Amino acid sequence: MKLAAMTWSFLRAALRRSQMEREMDDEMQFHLEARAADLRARGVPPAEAERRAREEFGDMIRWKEAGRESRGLRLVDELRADLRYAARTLRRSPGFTLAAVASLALGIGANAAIFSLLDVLVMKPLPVREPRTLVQIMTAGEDGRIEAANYPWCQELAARTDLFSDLFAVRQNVFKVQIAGRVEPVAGQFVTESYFQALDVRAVHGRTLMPDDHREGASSRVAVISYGFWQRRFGGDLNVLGTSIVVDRHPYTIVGVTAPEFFGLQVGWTMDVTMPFAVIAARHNDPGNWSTIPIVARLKAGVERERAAAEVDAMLKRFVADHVESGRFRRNYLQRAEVQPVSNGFGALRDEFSPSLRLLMAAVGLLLLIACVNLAGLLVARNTARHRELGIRLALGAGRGRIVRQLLTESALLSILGTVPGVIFALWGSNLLIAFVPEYYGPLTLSVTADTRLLGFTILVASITVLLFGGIPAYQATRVAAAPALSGGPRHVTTLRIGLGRTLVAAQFALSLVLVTGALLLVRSMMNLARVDAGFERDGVLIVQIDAPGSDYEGEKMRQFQREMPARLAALPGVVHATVATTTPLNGNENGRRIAVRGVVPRGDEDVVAQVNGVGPSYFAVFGIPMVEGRPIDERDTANAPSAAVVSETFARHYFGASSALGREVTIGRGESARTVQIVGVAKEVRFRSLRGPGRRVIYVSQFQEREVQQEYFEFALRTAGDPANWVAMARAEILRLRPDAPVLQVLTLRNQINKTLTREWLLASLGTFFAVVALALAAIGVYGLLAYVVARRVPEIGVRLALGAQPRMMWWMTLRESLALAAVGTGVGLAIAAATLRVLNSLLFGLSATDGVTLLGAAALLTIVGLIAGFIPARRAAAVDPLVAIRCE
Amino acid sequence: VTKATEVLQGTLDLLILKAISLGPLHGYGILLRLQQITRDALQIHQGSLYPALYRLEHQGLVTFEWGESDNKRQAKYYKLTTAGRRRLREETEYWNRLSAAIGAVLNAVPEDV
Repeated sequence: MKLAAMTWSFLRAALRRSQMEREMDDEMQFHLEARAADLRARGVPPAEAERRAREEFGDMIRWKEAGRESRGLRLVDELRADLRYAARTLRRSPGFTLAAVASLALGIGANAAIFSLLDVLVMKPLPVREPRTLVQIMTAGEDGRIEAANYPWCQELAARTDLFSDLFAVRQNVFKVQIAGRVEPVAGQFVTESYFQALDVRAVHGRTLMPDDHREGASSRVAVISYGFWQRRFGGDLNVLGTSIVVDRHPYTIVGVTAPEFFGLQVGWTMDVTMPFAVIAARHNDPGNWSTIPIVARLKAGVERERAAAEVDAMLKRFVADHVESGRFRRNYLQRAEVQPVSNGFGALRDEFSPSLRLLMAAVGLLLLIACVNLAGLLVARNTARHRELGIRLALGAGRGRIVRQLLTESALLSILGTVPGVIFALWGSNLLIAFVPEYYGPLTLSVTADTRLLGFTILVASITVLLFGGIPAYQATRVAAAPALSGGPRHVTTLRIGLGRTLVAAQFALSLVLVTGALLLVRSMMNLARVDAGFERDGVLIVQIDAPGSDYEGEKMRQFQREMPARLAALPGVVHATVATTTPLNGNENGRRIAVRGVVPRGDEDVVAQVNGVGPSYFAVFGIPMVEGRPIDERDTANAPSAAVVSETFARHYFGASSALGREVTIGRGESARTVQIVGVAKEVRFRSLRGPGRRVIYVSQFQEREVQQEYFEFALRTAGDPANWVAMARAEILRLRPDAPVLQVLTLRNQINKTLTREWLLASLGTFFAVVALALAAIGVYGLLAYVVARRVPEIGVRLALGAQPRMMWWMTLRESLALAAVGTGVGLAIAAATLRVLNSLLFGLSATDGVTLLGAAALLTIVGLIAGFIPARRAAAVDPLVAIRCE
Repeated sequence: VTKATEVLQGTLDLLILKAISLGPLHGYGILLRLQQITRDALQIHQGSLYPALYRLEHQGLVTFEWGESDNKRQAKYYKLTTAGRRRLREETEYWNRLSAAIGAVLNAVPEDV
């Protein structure tokens, strides 16, 4: 109450300053006149009356000042004066100001950019009602935690209204959506009944899904579309309600459009089409069969998450015991249930990128710290140069606090000047980074905007920087004793502060070394990955990805497509070989199948599973995979020929040891669909899933002999006589010319496909390098600033030395030696810090460890060179001092 | 001639509150009323009234409106707010207790101990 009144009064006084001043004038004037009038009435002569009124009133200027102070205005006045003074000071040294503002802009901008990404991906709560009470129910086992469920399990959970006020399940997918004849991939989901009610998501147009829509076997299939999809595909047409769209070949009627801010529960991936789960419930009705179906619930008021977790865990154990046969899946994923908070959505993107982002956050934090130390060093040097001015002000009675405040104002002004371009840089930079995230899940719908969270973070960071880089120099500056500053030369008081400046520069070198080492490690790891022998040739291969689900490519039509297309593509000019395959190296797909090797008794569960890849003739030629033994799959292996297989080296070694694999038999699949193949060759090891390895047990079978190989996703691969990028358009055109309705998903080079798996590494290495370069530049500025100052201070001393016969070269060396000493001390400390902290990088590195000696030495050498270069100009200046001029100055 | 007593540090605010509790007054009017009540026993620096008034205004204890004075000029008339009235009551009680206590101490004679 009192505080509110005071704030209000202060604001009124500060904002309507001139009016307040006028009122104060009027009021006091009135007082004087009234008093004079009273005195006149008592018979005092007019002139005397006026004089006495003035005298009795006292010093009007003093009372006015006291009046301003009692309204809290003195602070404002002083701040205004400080700001004016600071602006003038900064204008006088534009070089320093520019360097300071630029380094702060980079430091604060980089922090804001990474923070904003972390925020949208990891921390921001979902735009739904009370996100904090939402939990996700997952199952877990020896292989970790997954989002597995089936419809009966969902229903059993939903019945627990004593634990959850709402519970729903979601099945997400990329659908083939046909609108007005054109088919496009669209992210969408099937949701159970209480989805929209639980999240309290409303329709801006039409309605959301109603209980009636969720009855199994509902005659009409309905869909709700996202606001973005409505705008993008229907131009925001209000007549969209009632329109029919075809999703995976089934028609749905659009009944509503959701609110613009709602994207679903998957961060970065907007669910454009939402349909009732009832449509697909029959497919998930077997309680022994588990699919990826995230379950989300809202805890009932008063129910602790721990209690819900315990109850659900007990339920799962009973459910699994009743319905799921024991085996690998049950042991790996269905041993227990976990109830996790899900207030910020579930995110595959988050899981993939949040460790990297946290690492980057640490890096930019370090960068900002370096920038602050750098600025602190520069300010210390500058304040020392200003010691005379400060001494005079202290001598004239300025309080130390007052001077500290004035110096801090200067720092704050610098910080503000740096923050504004920093935020612009951050918004641009973070959206640029988002553009680099590969579209595994369809188009990403992430964007960073200037919201209050970003603003708050930036203000916080900027304030901390002011204290960090401004506080020490400001405090230090006032430790000057007024008397010597006025009486004598500068030398009496500067030694202490040059010592502080040196410490700061050395600290800066140490911190920079950590950043530079980290960046070098990531770059070298990236280079190792680029060079590693993957077992196949990375260049000269073009990949055509086919995505058949939802199209009418099935059965014989599909087989014919697969059979005839490689020959047609191989006939294109410049195409050397063409083939078809279930998967190609590093495309992210897995096709693990149950196998039994004749004559080998499985030693464990792992022994009965291998990756099966159905390939066409010339697969090994296209990818340049050499045979270690026997022959590859080729034209002989038609549908009617004896079933042949090629196995990977790892496979052969695992099951047959030193003896030959040729002629051995393997049964793929179980029960009726099982089929036995005979090994005809052993292929060289291929980095199949990740460039980091390890080798996998792979069986290559003929695509045309496979009945069971997954027919829906497969790829054509071409070996071209030049850069495959030049064949992208030609290959696509040829396929569509022959088969206009072919479901071609993507045409890309093998290099592109590999690079997608390296996005994270690439991102870390390139950003790390950028930060390291900035840190090096700052280190150079820091050393230069300090030495330039030291040389300027020492001019008289150097003059005397030269006059006494010292060689200019000695002065040169004396200065450069100082720079090298700083670099050496800083680097030494930095090496210790780097060795201790960079271990966190180990899991990201490939082919070298975080304490790699060559890298550490390289970073140290780099910093020493920077120290040398930065010390060069001041050193030359020292050598060029004219003894006569120098001594005369004294 | 009795010597005027200096106003104790901090009591000027209380005196002002009391003066305007009897009716809205402008700055000069407050001075006159205080002099009249105290019969000039207290010496008040005239100019010091104004910083005190602004302080009270800043704390939300008094408010003002412009009005016409006896000599037909615009003047700022101060009056108490609710918070001001409460403050005056509290301060008055405190003063009474304090002066009674101090009076008792100062008037003590050996028989009382």
